[in-house]
Amino acid sequence: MWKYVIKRLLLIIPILLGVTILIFFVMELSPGDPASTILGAGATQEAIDMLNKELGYDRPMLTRLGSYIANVFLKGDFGNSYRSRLPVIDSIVVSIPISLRVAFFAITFAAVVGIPIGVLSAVKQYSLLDTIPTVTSLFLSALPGFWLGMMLLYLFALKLGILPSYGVETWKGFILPTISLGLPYAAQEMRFTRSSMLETIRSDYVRTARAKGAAERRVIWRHALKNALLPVITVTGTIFAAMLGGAVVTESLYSIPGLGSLLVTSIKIKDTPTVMGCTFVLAAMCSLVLLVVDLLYAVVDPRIKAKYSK
Amino acid sequence: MEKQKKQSQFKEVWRRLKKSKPAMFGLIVLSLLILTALFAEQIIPYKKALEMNAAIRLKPPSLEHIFGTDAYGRDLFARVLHGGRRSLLIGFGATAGALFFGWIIASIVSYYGTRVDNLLMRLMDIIAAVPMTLMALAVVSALGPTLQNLIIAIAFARIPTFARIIRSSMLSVVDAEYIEAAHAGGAGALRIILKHITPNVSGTMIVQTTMATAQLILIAASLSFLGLGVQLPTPEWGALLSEAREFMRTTPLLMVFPGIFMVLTSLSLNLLGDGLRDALDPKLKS
Amino acid sequence: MKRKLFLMAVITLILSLLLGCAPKAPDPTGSQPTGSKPTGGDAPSRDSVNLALVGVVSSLDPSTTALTVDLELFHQIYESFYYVDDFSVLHPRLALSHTISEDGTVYTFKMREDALFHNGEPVTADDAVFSFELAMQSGVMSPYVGVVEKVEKVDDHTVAITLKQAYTPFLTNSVQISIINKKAYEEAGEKFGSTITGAGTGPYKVISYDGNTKVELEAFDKYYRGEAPIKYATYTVMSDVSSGLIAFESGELDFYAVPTANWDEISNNKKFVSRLNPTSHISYMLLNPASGLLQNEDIRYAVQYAIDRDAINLLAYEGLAVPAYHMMHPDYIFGATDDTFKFTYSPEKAKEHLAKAGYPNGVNIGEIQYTTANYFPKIAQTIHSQLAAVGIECEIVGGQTSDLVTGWRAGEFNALISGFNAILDYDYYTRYTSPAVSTSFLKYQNTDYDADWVLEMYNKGAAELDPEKRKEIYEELENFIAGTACYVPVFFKSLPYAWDADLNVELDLNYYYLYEWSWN
Repeated sequence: MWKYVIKRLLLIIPILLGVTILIFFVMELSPGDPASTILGAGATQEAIDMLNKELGYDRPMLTRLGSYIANVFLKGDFGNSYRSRLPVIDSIVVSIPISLRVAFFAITFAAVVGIPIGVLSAVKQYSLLDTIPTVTSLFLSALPGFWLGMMLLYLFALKLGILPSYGVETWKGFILPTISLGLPYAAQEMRFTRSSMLETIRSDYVRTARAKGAAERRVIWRHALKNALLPVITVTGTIFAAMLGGAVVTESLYSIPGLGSLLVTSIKIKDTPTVMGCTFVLAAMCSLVLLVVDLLYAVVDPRIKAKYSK
Repeated sequence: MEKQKKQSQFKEVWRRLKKSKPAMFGLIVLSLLILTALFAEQIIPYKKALEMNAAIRLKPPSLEHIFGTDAYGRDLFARVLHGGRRSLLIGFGATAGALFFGWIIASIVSYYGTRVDNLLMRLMDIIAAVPMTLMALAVVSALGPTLQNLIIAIAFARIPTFARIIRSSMLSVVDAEYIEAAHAGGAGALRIILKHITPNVSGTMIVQTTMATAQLILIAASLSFLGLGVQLPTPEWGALLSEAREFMRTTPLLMVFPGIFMVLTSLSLNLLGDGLRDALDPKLKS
Repeated sequence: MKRKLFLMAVITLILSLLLGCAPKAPDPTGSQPTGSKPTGGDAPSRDSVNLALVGVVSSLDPSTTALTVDLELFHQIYESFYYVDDFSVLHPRLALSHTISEDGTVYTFKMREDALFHNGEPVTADDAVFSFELAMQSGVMSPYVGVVEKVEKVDDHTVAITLKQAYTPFLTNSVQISIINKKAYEEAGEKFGSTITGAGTGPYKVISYDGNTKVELEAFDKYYRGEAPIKYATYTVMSDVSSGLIAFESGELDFYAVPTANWDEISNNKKFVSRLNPTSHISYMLLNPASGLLQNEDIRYAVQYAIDRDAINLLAYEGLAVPAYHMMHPDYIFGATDDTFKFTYSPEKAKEHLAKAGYPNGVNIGEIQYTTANYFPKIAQTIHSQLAAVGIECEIVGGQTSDLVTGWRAGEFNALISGFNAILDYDYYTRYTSPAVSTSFLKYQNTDYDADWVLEMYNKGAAELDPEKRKEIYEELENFIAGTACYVPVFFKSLPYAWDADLNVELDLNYYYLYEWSWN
């Protein structure tokens, strides 16, 4: 089993390498050069050419890629941002805790709201307690995220004035982004929990339990609940990974200086070192979370564990 | 003999699907939406979606303009309808692309076993390591924002998920003995994949397709929202929402109509998907 | 059971690692600000004002950036020899007076002796010389001082700047150069633009700086014109304008550039004072006379006549801008008048010229690139529709300015839509129309037009010392350039500002100075 864990951890390295190369080529495909971005449209062409040279932009593409990879993997040096000329790692390190906090609150919200309702609606299938949450959650998953965010902002920050409209400096500032980011995922959690519960309820041993009588029923019920919730936990982990970088629209709407908005801004201004640094960190975080999710799968399902131990 | 079996299987699934009211609702609504997208030109000509008229901008619904007009005086109904054509095209197109390539990869991997599995799935992990929206964002900003590139970018970002899900579905149905047995029957790789493996996971694939379409339409809208969708002045639901954003407080209907259509599309796809999942589930007894 | 506990332990550990040891944001000052600081979001005390920046701040180094967001900040913390007002009148700042030599090549500035930098150092000629030399090497600032031969210290408070040739616009250009403290710059080294160094002389100094999120200013108590009435200013970066508007309406911001779509609502709200502030910023389309069908002058004329500026103003800027018939604003730019050649809206004439060009049934002129920033996509769409109305088809393609600008400078475009902000002298137009300036998109290469003559006229205008004669030269030049029908001026944008009714705000042509503001 541990061999598998080590193997997976080591495998993350080539994945990160792959992501780096992939994003590098993607960034290279797009037009534009760093100096034009930094200096703006008013600067002289000579100055732009000079700055490009200073930044090492005039070297051939593969050389730049090679030296970047060497710096990152051998020295842990992600280079300097084209825009601020400061080390990329500094701006990333500042933004990570913010994104993590927002994602953590959002996933907690999503789980705390979605899972119990999912269980309830599965148990009370076909009743109102099932139909209403199901319809609501379908509706919520179908909403564009920015629309929901704008509505919340408009209602709570403007009309009611009880919550701040930007920033996450005070705890109040986290409320709207948490709901805005978490609600659609809460809907997903709810639906997944419900379907997982339904599958369990319909399974053979539960039906047998019904036949057997109250006391035994309770014991098996708890067992069933546990079995139903385990896949839900792993899905929650996957969603958490998605939230880390995927909260882009939320971050932009609420002016939250997290990793997602740093990445998008950098893509737009072609600040390639920052883009690559952010993607690297994001990919690393997501890979780690997914590894934990897979391990959880293995821990709870002995069949899978056996497979990994082969 | 096999054909008959398939036909009665299909009938059985259809019967089960019919029993679910939400799924039928989804199917009907989706069909209507697809029809309006296909016949959009006949319902209201495309040029109405482009015709500007400064004098009638931001007007509420009227007999002449049943959804009202947008910030340029263009007919909103025309824009929503023709926008639907493009949004659905992007959604279905990207899904088809991701499904196709995801299926190929999953098939290869489940047929050829561990070594290939490791290699290809790690490749998938690399692409999947970057969150979908951002991956699509990066690719489309590199290729340039055209309709085709948008489809390519979004499909590309979705391939790993399809590959993963189809693969795990295939693996749960298939194992080495199964393939050996098929081999013994004298079948080649492609034949085995097509005739034996795929039909068993077609249920998963179908359900995943409907879910993915809904998801990808939303991603396309997000990209338009961030400014990297179709080129102006081509209508597309996400672009319409983006344009409507600044008038949200003064003319909220601009956001409401495209929003409603988007939600209906997503909703119907999800309802249909849920219904299909239930209908195709072999464990369900009627 | 043991498995589960182990799992829980691992998860808890990971989570606490992620959340607990959140590294503190690196403090650029290295020291904590003194004095009571207002916190953004609480009800502002009357000694502070909260504003928003529409983008991130690139740097605190005025020699490396001229982006609007940065300039908004720089105007509060840096100064030059003079300040030039909307009517081109000079007001002394770090210089009290100046003399110009007979031949117009030597400018001698007499500096004031009581000015101090924010770090306490006295302002001397050394600093001025240093600042100009820095500008001369800077990619962004060098166009303003490109004509300078050398900068010399005459004595501790006198500076002599020698130009390569007589260049009358020099004075207005020199005002763009911020005078910074040489010592602070050298001590900070690489960190100059990213840390607080007290290198400015303006009425406000920076006490807290994070380019991505917030900048805090405090009134400089030793400012030579007296301390500013409002003690603190907090700039928060808010790139989303709708969120920014909500912040403004709920009182978290005191001053805001209102999105045009919400102008009616805000200007009618008695809680706020609002003003449409004029600017000399021109939004325009440029047709490349060396490209494809646009080489045909009649086709360009057809395009010019097809443009309905009032409609574009309404659709792209809610009617709040000022339609422009000239690229250089006649009211604010020296050398620009309203009497020069201009096109007005006439679809009939447009069709006439199309027919003359040999395309009575319409034509496809190709691609028009536009920058995706702000309202330019709206201008592009409207123009697309107006051209179609007279039979001219085209394809509009959006992109980021920084991606497109290098191609534009090389003349590799068919048509483009963009904007720029002109500084107060017609000579500024060289940046966009002179054959010899690298930033120019219109160099008249590969055309039948006499590029040399254009260059000659610009040089004459710059060298001429008599203002009346200069005006004549520029009038002739403008008639010619407008007559080539390449630049299509669309409108001068106004800035829709709104602020708290208790705040007294003064606004200048393109900027504002917090120094002139106060609370009731």
